[in-house]
Order: sequence, then structure tokens, then C-alpha cells
Amino acid sequence: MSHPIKSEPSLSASVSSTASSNQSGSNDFVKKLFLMLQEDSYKDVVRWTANGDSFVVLNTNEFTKEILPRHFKHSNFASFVRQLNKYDFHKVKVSNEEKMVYPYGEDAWEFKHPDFKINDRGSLENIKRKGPSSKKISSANTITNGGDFTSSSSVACNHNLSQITTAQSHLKDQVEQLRAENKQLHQDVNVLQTKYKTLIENIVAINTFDERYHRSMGILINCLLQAGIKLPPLDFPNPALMSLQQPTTGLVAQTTTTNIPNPKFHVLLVEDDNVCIQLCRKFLVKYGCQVTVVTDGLNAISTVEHTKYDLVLMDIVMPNLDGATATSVIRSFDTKTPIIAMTGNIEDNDLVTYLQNGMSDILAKPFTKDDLYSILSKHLLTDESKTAAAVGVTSRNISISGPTLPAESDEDPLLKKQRLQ
Amino acid sequence: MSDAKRQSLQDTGLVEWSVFSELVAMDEDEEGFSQSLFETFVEQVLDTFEQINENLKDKNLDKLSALGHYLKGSAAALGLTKISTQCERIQNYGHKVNFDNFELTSDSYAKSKRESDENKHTEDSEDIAIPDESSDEFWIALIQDALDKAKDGFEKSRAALNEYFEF
Repeated sequence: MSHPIKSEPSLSASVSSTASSNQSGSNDFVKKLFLMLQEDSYKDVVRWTANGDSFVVLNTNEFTKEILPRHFKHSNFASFVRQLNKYDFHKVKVSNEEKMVYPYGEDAWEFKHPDFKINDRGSLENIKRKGPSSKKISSANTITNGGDFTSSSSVACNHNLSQITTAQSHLKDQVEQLRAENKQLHQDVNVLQTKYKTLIENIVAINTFDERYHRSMGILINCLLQAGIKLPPLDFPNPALMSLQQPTTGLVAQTTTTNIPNPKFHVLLVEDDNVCIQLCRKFLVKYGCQVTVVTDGLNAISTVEHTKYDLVLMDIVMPNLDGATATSVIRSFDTKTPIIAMTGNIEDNDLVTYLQNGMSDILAKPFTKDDLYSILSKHLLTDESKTAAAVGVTSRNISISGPTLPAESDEDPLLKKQRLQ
Repeated sequence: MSDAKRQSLQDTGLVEWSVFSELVAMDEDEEGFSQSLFETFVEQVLDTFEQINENLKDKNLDKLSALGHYLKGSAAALGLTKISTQCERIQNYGHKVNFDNFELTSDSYAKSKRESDENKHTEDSEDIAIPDESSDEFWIALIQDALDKAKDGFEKSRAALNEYFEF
């Protein structure tokens, strides 16, 4: 804060005036000191040294009491010494060894300047007051130009203050933003963790089952062979080697979205059968839905994770991951989106399983347009009327527009699965 | 689409009319929708039949069941009940479930053997004894039977639909 003050116009003017006065009438202090020493009337208190190239104050108490008031404006010895320093006089240092033979006593202060010598009046002109340090100046001018300084510096201060305030609020905003982002990221990470945990648990369970079946089958085959029963060639893979086999159809999974103007709903169709996709999509579009299609359970999970859908239609038997497992994984991070199982297996046991996996409803295959629409209205109109109630208009005028960005396909869970095995 | 054509397709009994008429109704929005849907289906059927044949050779019952289930879905969605019924049989037999208590007669077994003989060698020393449910041969034979009937249903449906759409 001291630097701006230096650049104030009024201050620099006062600095230069001080400097010029020092230059001309400048070294009155030094001349007074010289004359006083030449008089040699206080030789017990202060006098030239033997060489005549320095002077010594023998008795500082006496010097302060008698000489300072009479010859100088200084009220104390320290002030006098400071003045000397300003004219580049230096106290002569006396080492401990020298002290033994020092003629002026332990309390003596010896001062020296190259141009300050006995009987040498001419050299006095060379003794100049040193360029004042900025610190001294500023403090001096603070006092001399008090009013001027206060007004100009308060303007500067106010300006600086407002800058700082702006900067601070900007920083505060940034911190808030980062905090929110951080929170969001934490939540996302938690969701991902839950998801992966569920997925991994499922995969591990499936692997365990596979291995148990594998062992049982192995035992069974051995028994049969020992009993002399001839076995046909079996396609009997070891589950431990499963990771070496690629799923035959699953890896070329795509996400396609059919956009329609002003969609009422955004529906995710999870289905691997091309004919069913085309037909079901047609029905959905006619109903006023924007339809995104993915063709396996793993892509369904990553797609639902990225995008909010009003409803998910989920086939059960699919490559990579079946619809029931995919649903239970989705339910670990999304409990609200209606997920409808589309299935040809409509036996009671299956239905219970689907509902236990978190399916919201079941749409038996094959279904007619009306079957589909009644399911849609059952699960979509409730949302729509809720919104309508909140907005206070009739449900017909409401369009719930889902996010329009199709989620990108994400193979991560699959890779993870392969790594696991 | 003339009513006469509609009537004649309906008379074949190959399609479930309630389902089929809905598909055709979609053409109002998008001309040629139902036809393109059937073209997709035809490709799918030909591809799936091919895969079923291969898996019959390999006696891969699980895969056969999955293929049966897969084709069943699309056939049913289009109302092609003759095909979907046979696909459902393949699906069940693949899981060794004789849900319709199908009886493997020596005739049909002999036929199924002939079908598979065209594809691969068989062990000639074996008698033409009809296998029972404990043997994969039994289920393979049943699936072969269902596949033959599905193919028959497909050819008939395809012909009827070709006529309807004037391919």
C-alpha cells in the first residue's frame, strides 16, 4: 500500500522541495557541528580526535544536557545520531582489543565522515544529506500533506476496496460452484459404486451358479461314463474359460433415437429383436413418444444412467445382460422411472421374479397396440396429471419433454465383467 | 389394398388378423411400413433357420432354445401364429420340456434322421430305435420336427404375404 502513495503528484512535489532545500542551505547542521568543534570549547564533552579526521563525544549525558539545547534542535542524543547518519556520518566501531587502548573511554561515541576533518572547511560542501528512504518520506509527508493524502488515498482505498469486494464475491461464487460440482460428483460416484456393486454381485452370483452346475455336470458325466453309458459329444464349456468367448451378437450394440417434433414423452426401448423394435417403435411414436432404442441390458443401464426417461420398455431375454438383471441394477440408482417388462413368459413364477427385480409392470408378448397404450397411459398419464395439477392446466396441454440427447453407449460394465472372469 | 386381397389373406388362416390389421393400419402414417416390417422379418427368419440348422448339427440345445425364443417373439408380433407356435416348441424342447406331450413316432424320427443325415454323418451301427427323453437325440428330433413345420408355415405365409403386398 505504500507504493501508490509515492506516485501521488502532490507528494512527489513536496519530496522535491525538501530535497532542494537540503541541497542549498543544506548542511547547516554539519557547519554548526564543525564550528562548534573548531571552537574547541567543550573538549571534555566533544572534540576532534587526535588525527583530526573524526570527532568524538566523550560524555553523552553532558552533551545532551549542555550542547544539544544550545547548538542543535535535537532534544536527545539518539535524534542527534540519526541526524548524523542522514549526512552519512558513521559511528567508528571499536573492537574489544582496541578498547583496551582506546583513549576516549568506554562510553565515547566516535563519528567519522571522509569530508569532515579538522580545519578543512572546504570539504564540508561535499557533505550532503542522503537521499531519504521512501519510508521516511512517506511518513513525513503523511504528516505534512495530511489533508491532501487523506482525500486522494481514500479515493484509492475505496477503489481498491470495491475491487477486492468484487474479486471476493467472484471467488465466493466460484467456491460455491465448485462445492456444488463436488457434491454432484460425489453423488455420481456413489451411484456408480452402488451400480457396480450390484452388477458385480449379480455377476459373481451367476458365476457361482455356473461353476456349481459345471461341477455337478462333471460329476454326472463321470458317473454316466463309469456306468458304461456312451455320451454324445457335448458342448460343455468351463465357466472359468468363459471370458475367452465373445458373446455372439452382443458387442455390436447401438443406440438409436427416433426424434419427433414436440414429443410428449421420452421412452427407452430395450429390445434385441429387429421386428419387435420396428413395430414397438412405430406404436410409441404414434402415441407421441420420442423413442430411444438399445439392444441389450448393459446398454440399457448406461443409457438410463445418462438420460432421464419417462418410461423404459424392457425385453427380458437379451444378449449381454438380461432385462431382469438390468432392471435390478437400474433400480440401485433409479427407483422412479417406470420399467415395464415385455415378455412372452407370463407364468406366475416369472412374473413374481420380474416384480422382485423392480419392474413396475408387465406387458405380455405379443401385445397389440391397445395393450401397449393402456400400459403407457397407466404409467405416463399419472406423471402427466401430476404435472398438470402442479401447473394448474389440463393435462392435454402439457408436454413432458425428456432430455433430447441420446445417451452414448458405454461398454464399461462389460469390460469389467470380462476382467472379473 | 383391395378388400379381396385382404379377404384371401385372412382366409389362409396363417395370420392372426387382429394383430395383422393393426400393422397395416400403421401404413397410414408411413407408407410401406408393414411391408418393410415383413421384409425385415423374412431376413430374420432365413438367418435364424440357418442358425438352427447349424445348432442341430452341434446338438446345442440351449442355443436352439434361445433361437426358438427369439424367432417366436417376432413371429408373434406380426401375428404369424403358425410360425410362432413351432418356435415355441423349439424353445421348450431346447430346455427338454415336452410341454405339448409331443410323441416321437418312428416315422417322424426316421424323417428327422434323414434330415440330419443330409447334413452330417451318423453312426450307422445304431438301430433305428426311437430314443427317449433321457437322450439329446430325442429333443433334437423334436426340434427338427418343429423346424420343418416352422419352415412350412414360413413358406406358406411368405407366399400369401407376397401375394398380398405384391412383392
